[in-house]
Amino acid sequence: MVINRSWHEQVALFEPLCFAQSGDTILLLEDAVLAMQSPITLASFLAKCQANQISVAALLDDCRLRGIDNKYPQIDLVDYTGYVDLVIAHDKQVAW
Amino acid sequence: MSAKKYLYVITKAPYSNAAGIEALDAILIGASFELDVSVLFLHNGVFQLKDNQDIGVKDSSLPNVKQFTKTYKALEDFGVNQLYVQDQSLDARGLSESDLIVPAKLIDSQSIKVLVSEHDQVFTF
Amino acid sequence: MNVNILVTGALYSSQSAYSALRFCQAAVAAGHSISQVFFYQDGVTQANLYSLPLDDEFDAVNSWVRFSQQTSTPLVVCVSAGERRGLMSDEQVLEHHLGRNAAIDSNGSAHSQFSVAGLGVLHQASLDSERMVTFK
Repeated sequence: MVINRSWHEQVALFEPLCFAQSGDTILLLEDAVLAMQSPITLASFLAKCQANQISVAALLDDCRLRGIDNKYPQIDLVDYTGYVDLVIAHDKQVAW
Repeated sequence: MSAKKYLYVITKAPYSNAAGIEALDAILIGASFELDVSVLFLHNGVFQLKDNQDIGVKDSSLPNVKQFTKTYKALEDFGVNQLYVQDQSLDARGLSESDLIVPAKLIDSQSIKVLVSEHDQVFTF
Repeated sequence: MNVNILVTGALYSSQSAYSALRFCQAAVAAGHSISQVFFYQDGVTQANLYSLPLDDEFDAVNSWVRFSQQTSTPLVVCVSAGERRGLMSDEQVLEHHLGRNAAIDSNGSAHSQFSVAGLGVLHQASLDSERMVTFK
């Protein structure tokens, strides 16, 4: 499962966690990548994901567009081809 | 082959947008395909089922809204199997099961993960 | 694999047209096929024939049209969501007597590369496809 979410407010980043379980990937897409500029919120989010064996990825193109660097080894940067691969690798996607 | 299981998730409150109306359109079509259809109300989506919604007296000089949320009460007749409401979403908004216009199954976050994994397709509104 | 695309984000007040198009192009380049792109909720605005962005801006509507022509991917606008928002084919404009001069001027607002159909088409495609991806 891939969950993508436009990130508008801190709580929104955590909402998809009620869907995701072990083996799922949460993909940060569009404005969701802005969360990578909020270290405290993101650290807590990554810790929750790690505890539940949920992988986290971010769309490279959306990061570049917004001038966001990935300082987090836990976040896998993927391009659109990688996004397609994620969709193929998981049996369903939940858009948030 | 057993029917595919489709889950429709509603996360928005009614009247400020058409998400509820358009989710219901999709739910009714899903049911007409004889899919195994369930609906989950999450976050502000629980306000879709809040009782005592009052659209006021019909007055042709005023803009009128449709009380589309009545349709949730009829979903059972269309073969929609189950309505689920996240317990936390109700609690956080000062609501309880007795405030809902239709019987729904209260479900916790852990059960939502299972629910999502059991369904073949998930639409979010 | 066959991928069914659902687009629900509005033209220019969401990134969904750009994200969905980039995804579709990457999927086709990787050898997958897009069974159809269905436009629902505010996504119907992405079919607007009369959208005229400035020359140097992203042209969502025409990008969809080019993608559809190059890959033979069907673009489908939801009839009820479209009518709510004024997105209609020439035939719908005539049927609802909305044309300024319907007898000679059928001025549908949906680009002719988009077909108009009901939600049944979305559900059938989701049943026939191996994956569904939603862009909000």
